[in-house]
Amino acid sequence: MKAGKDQRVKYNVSAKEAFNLVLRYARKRILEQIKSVALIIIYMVLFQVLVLKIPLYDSVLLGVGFTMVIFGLAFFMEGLLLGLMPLGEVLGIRLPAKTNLATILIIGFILGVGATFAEPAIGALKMAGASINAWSSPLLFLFLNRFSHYLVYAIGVGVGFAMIFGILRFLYGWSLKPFIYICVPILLAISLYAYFDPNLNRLLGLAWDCGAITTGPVTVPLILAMGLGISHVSKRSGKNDGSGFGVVTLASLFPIMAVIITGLAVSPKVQEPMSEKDFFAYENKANASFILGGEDKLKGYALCQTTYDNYLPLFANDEAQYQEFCNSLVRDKDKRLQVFGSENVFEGWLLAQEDHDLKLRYYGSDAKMEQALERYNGKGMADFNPLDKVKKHSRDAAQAIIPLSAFLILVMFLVLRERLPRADEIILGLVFALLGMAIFSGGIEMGLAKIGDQVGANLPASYTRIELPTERITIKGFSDDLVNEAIMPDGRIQQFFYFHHKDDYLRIPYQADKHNRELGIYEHIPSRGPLFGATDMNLAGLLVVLLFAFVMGYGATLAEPALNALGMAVEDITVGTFKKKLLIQTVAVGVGFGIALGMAKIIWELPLFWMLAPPYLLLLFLSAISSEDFVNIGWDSAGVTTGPITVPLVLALGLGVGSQLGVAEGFGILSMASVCPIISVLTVGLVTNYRRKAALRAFAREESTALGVES
Amino acid sequence: MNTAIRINIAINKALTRSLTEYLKSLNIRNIFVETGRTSTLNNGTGLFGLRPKTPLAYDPVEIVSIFVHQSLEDDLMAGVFHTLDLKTPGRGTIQSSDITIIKAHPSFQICSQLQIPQQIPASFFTDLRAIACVVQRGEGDAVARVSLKAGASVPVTTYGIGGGVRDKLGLLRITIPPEKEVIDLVMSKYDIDSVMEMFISEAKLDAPGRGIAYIHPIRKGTVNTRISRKRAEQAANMEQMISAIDSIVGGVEWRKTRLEQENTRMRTFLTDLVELILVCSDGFGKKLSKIAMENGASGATICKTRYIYTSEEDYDRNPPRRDISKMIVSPSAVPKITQAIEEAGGFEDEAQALLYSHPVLKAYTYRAKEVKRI
Repeated sequence: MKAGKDQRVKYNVSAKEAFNLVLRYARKRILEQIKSVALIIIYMVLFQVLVLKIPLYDSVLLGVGFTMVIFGLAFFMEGLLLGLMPLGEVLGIRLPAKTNLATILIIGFILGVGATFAEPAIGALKMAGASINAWSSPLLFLFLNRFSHYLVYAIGVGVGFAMIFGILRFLYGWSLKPFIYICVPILLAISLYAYFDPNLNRLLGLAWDCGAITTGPVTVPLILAMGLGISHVSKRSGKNDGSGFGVVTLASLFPIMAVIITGLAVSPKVQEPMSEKDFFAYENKANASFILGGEDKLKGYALCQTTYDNYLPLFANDEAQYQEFCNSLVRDKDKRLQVFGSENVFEGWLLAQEDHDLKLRYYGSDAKMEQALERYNGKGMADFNPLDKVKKHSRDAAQAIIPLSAFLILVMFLVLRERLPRADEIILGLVFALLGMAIFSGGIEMGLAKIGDQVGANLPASYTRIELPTERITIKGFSDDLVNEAIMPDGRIQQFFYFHHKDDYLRIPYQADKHNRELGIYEHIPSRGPLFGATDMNLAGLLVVLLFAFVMGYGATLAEPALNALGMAVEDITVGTFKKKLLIQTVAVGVGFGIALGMAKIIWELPLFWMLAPPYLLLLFLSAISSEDFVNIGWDSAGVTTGPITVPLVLALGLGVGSQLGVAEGFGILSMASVCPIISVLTVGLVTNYRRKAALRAFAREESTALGVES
Repeated sequence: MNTAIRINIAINKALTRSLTEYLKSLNIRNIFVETGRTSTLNNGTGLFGLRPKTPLAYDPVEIVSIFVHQSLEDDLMAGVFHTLDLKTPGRGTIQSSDITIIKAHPSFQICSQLQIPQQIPASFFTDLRAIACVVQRGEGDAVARVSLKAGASVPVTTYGIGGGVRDKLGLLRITIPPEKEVIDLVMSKYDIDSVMEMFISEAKLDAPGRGIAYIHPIRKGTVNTRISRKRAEQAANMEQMISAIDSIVGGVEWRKTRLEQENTRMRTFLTDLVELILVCSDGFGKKLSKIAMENGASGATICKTRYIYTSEEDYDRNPPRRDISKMIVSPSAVPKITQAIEEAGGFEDEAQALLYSHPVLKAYTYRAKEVKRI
């Protein structure tokens, strides 16, 4: 006890002591993150190397990426806890005391919309829909391209309304259950309607995925903290056990509805899905122009995406008109930009043309053309510029964090007319969050997403035979003399050659298109698989894929920062009766199941509606019998699960398997990954509550029958 | 200054509502509720092995505090005991202790004239003590486990935020987490010294910056002996038999020999201290504790508590959440602290502070030889 000392003075800390304090603090944070990402990284690397037996590509870069993920997450989590969350909480506590309801709701709405604009996860959705084409899913194509801003508006308005209703809930102590009972049946009903409309049906996956994707690593902690703050001071929230949670749930449900409704509104103007030929037909020109956003854009799209026969109708079936159009492109830069959007796309198209004169007219000389060709081919391969990446990710992080926190700080000054409490700590936290986000998203792109792409692309090897372009071998001095022939049971002749490689004599099937006779070169691309089972698409191999998806989903979820923040809030509110670790484990198992189911959807092309309806109906039942606190926590965990770690891995996996199987889109996995954790959390909640009650009852019964001692 | 009785009822969360309804029906005002958890030994396997590998099971509890005049103590405690069937272990415990109200906002009143229906008297143990142990967040389970394994009684854990050295470090403070856990344990006074020793060695309180443990007296009450969730294999399990014998002999002294004195190390305990408790509106806890610390308190643990509304007009006047700040101070510092809090407007309408003290028999924390610089 150092009672009686005047302790207003600051302690003087020597540089060494300060260094030790910081070191201990940093070590703890970093170790925590190493623990949380270790599983997913080790798992992905081992799976690729040991199970698929395919060597790692770019391993140095991957290592740098993983390290960046760990350090970035450590900074980001600390930034959340020091900066963003206290900021949100202070506002939540102060707003109800200082302003009227309307102001709070307006601020909440702006915050919701702003958060969506600041963290546009729309990039991830575009990636999932990269292979969508305009003729087979016109509405979906429209939303992912020309109308993608409407998509963002719809989601933003959805999240804004979620904030409004969330705040009203806290202030008036409303239960979350009625919101679920109303929203989920409506969503299922419109989805069922949409399921029978060929255009809307394809939009469903996007809409349900939007719900999962909207709530990012900055938004979730912020609105969570604000909700905790508001319900903390709300006089009526005491009635309600789940106080503080539930906004994230609404912020997942409302955007789904907003996107489907926007889809319903736009769909009358959009033509039905049709064949490629009909789409580009002369009669369909007006409709197709609407989807692409103008005749020029339509022509550009057609030139890049379809064949000569298909796009000729756009030029009134007149070859001269087509030639004239091509010439005008070469001459006129503005026209090129109008048609193709960028010079790069134009060059890509031009270089693929057979017309040598046309190319020559643009490039001027053969040498320049060769250069361009080389440059263009080089672009297809990894074009890695670390500085550009740093710039891009710093910009994204700044965009996600600065406007939102600036808005909140402004509200603090202008509306509440209060100074920021512990301003130094909060500002430091925001800087940490900014830095952390830039580093970890860079790390994800270089490390996790890269290995995700590799494993995703190679995963089909478990059930079918795939080529491994990264292990391409160029055999020099190849000649036809080396080719042998073999006969098959049905009498067909197959050609092969012997190849000596790494002390091994390999028999390799000869493919004429890989043999460049002029240069005497044979491009050998090794192939592998099916690793499990003998036949193509066999069940054993597919089950391995599903199992892989499960473990990957589980591991990725452990590392999600927003879930970590939710877990801390839950542990704090329940005073440790629901531990963070238990919540994260439960959610991770749920996500694992969800992603496995999502993969099953891709592999067997199951309709999304029938994948979503049963779990949601089950959830209505589970929510009805669960206690309010678990309903809030369970539904909220659905929104937070799919964050920056899970999404790129899931997309890589979906695209890898999807493109190998020729499936058009990778939507739906994320929505499965967000419905399953709700089920698992509610189940654990029911079991926990049941045990508590059973223990209490059993004890009371034993007590009264066994001894019967009166006190 | 006047003396009063504080009755603390730590009750399973599922029963909080019936308790507060009962208290409201008696017209009791100023009811405060803290949320906490009890830990019991768990021998279950866990769902799909999903549960973390800890032998503890947690139950949410709420600690309801009310302040009454001594004349009401017996009837009120008996009333609560019978109404909520606290005879059954695991439902909740009730204890009373002497406190001194130092100063309070006028809205705070000690209930002195209540109509409590006549009760069958309940027999409470009178040979109890309470031990409180404040440690870093995350270390509470280890301390709780010690008391469970020793068979002492079931601890109640609450969360708090610590203040003290940390706030004097400038921005470097972020390297020391402020989150604390407070473990409260009510048990036989005969064994409490050995349990205190176990707490000190488990929580390493003899190292700097680890926390504090202190013992305070209890007038009378019950203890929670349900230390395990294990189902009984015999007609009655050990906990039930202990609880039954406790009630037959009317005390816990017979259990004294169960815990061997392993107090080999000589420790110098701090004596002549009081626990100074400040209850005030949400958000003021930190500010007022800081003022207290500038005037002689060495540290404070701030917990959150809820105010139970007993009437409609209450709704408009009283904030729903309160901070409760617990400080260990020397009695000589109390007047100065009280005056400083008063000067800061602590007892006015906005902060609505209630300041009371509670004797501490002995306390233990790390003490440097001289005032140490961090």
